[in-house]
Amino acid sequence: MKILVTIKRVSDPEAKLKIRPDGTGIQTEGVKFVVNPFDEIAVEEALRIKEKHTGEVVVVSIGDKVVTEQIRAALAMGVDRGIFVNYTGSYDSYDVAGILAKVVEQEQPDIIILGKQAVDDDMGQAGFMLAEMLGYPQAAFASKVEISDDKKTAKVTREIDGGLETKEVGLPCIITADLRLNTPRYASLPNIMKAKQKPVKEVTVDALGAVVKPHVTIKKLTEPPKRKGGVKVESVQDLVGKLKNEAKVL
Amino acid sequence: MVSFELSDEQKLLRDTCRDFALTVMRKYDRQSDESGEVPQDIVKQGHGLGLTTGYIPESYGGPGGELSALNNVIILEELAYGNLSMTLTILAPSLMNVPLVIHGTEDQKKKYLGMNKPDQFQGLTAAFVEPTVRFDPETLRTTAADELDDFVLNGEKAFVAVADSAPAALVFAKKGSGEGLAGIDGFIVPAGGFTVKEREKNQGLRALKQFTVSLEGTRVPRTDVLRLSGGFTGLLARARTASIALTTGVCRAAYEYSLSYAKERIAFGEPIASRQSVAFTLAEMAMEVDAMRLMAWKSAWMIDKGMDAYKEASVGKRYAADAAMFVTRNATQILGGHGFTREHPVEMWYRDARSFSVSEFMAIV
Repeated sequence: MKILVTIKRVSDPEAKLKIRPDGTGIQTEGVKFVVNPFDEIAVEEALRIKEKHTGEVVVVSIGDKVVTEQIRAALAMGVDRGIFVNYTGSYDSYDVAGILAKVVEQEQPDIIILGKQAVDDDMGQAGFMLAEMLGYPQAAFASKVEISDDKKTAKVTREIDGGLETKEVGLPCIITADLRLNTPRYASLPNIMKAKQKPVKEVTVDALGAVVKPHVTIKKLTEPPKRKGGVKVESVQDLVGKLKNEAKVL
Repeated sequence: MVSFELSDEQKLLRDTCRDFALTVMRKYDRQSDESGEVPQDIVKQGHGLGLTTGYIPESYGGPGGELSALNNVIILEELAYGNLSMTLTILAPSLMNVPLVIHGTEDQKKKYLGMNKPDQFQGLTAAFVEPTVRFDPETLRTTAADELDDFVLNGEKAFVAVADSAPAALVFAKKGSGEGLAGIDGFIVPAGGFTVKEREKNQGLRALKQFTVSLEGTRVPRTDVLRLSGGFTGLLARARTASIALTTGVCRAAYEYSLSYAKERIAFGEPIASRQSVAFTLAEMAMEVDAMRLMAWKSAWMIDKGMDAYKEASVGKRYAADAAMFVTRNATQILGGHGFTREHPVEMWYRDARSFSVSEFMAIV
């Protein structure tokens, strides 16, 4: 059983970000980058499926050379090999799905697991688009994944308002991982040292035959307005007056 | 060439240990300090990271990584940044494994490195420090008398980590008389060969189980003697280098905590960090933490190069132990009354840091 997991390099969710003066992006100097937490959950799930059903786990990441750091992090967790799609231009979710579709064509995995969204731009679209492009069934926002013994179907549970929804999809399929699917393992220190011996294949977008033509471009980033300090009011009348005249909510 | 740039693997080691320190160790640090015990689950998880087995060669059942002092000081700083008692508990097996990997015979490595299990913590340990006034490694009082096929050990050891559950301990003792540090060898003693006495009652490191251990006519066959051939100073250099790194971690924890406290604590209309007396103190604390780290790295780098780092490690250990008192005391001071209460961790770090100037650990890097 072959499982393909996609990982994205994102700024550490704990980091305090600053926007570049020209508003085109964030300042990356001194910012720590990590594997998108939802993708880390996807990696963990793939490893658990492999441990139960045997097979191979492959990760793919798109970006410039630095994303190999995140690929190595996944290899240290136990992933067998990596694919690094070298691309430094701008792209949107549709482009990402297009590139991934080409990787899937080459690799022919039984299951493709993505994080439900990346925590940097929160687009959350690549999984759906990829399923559409490939014509594969998809089960999004998984909180539980069970592969049938004959490895032909996957039973995927998702948390919905007021309960759980369980779907069954035939393989090959697309699964996107939600927060409570699992808790990713720590890479053991010996595995970290061994990760450098595992193969990482570098490919270009052209070699894959993918076309990158962003439909969406980010025009400008702005910081949320600074919160102003509150005021204390003397009486209930004052409060009602302010709610009516200043806040205009009454 | 000298370089301070960490490799991708070293960064990943550091980040993994930092994450473990913050999300796992710190969550239970106060509970452990109060109960005097490291939760079994933490020991299991920490052991699962492969901290004490990574450098064991494949032929002895290990993963076959290199024994790198530099990698280990990077790891130790992060773990001690989480919690010192937990770090020393989880790493106890290295007290025996590291000397074995360096000096052990083929048979000793097979037999004793093989006792390590990747999925189960085995509390191997070492016994070195003795309960004497002005303990000095040069004048160990535990003796190993040569009698026919065996050596016979007599003496008392103190601060032996996890001795109550150790399947075996590496006991450092002197053969014959004189010779100073060069006359010290290691003697592998399985459980039963040493008597575990009462648990040490310490000011800090309260969750680390340490015991006084006595040896009364314990017979050790020649095959279980770890011949150091004058290599004891090399082990001491490793021990002291580890000590610098551990000190750096505890001090960084205290520094960072008091820094963010000072930025948030408002007094007389502004954060106390904007008062010069506090800001200058914080700056000096930061300098000390950086200085310690440089000393640890340099000493570790020398060890990995095969150089004699005994002097650098000893200088660094002494410097770091003193500076640790400055850093952690000021951390409690910056927190004012809060520094005195057990609701903030700085008083715990202060107590833990006190151990560095009075203890001599053994080689764990």
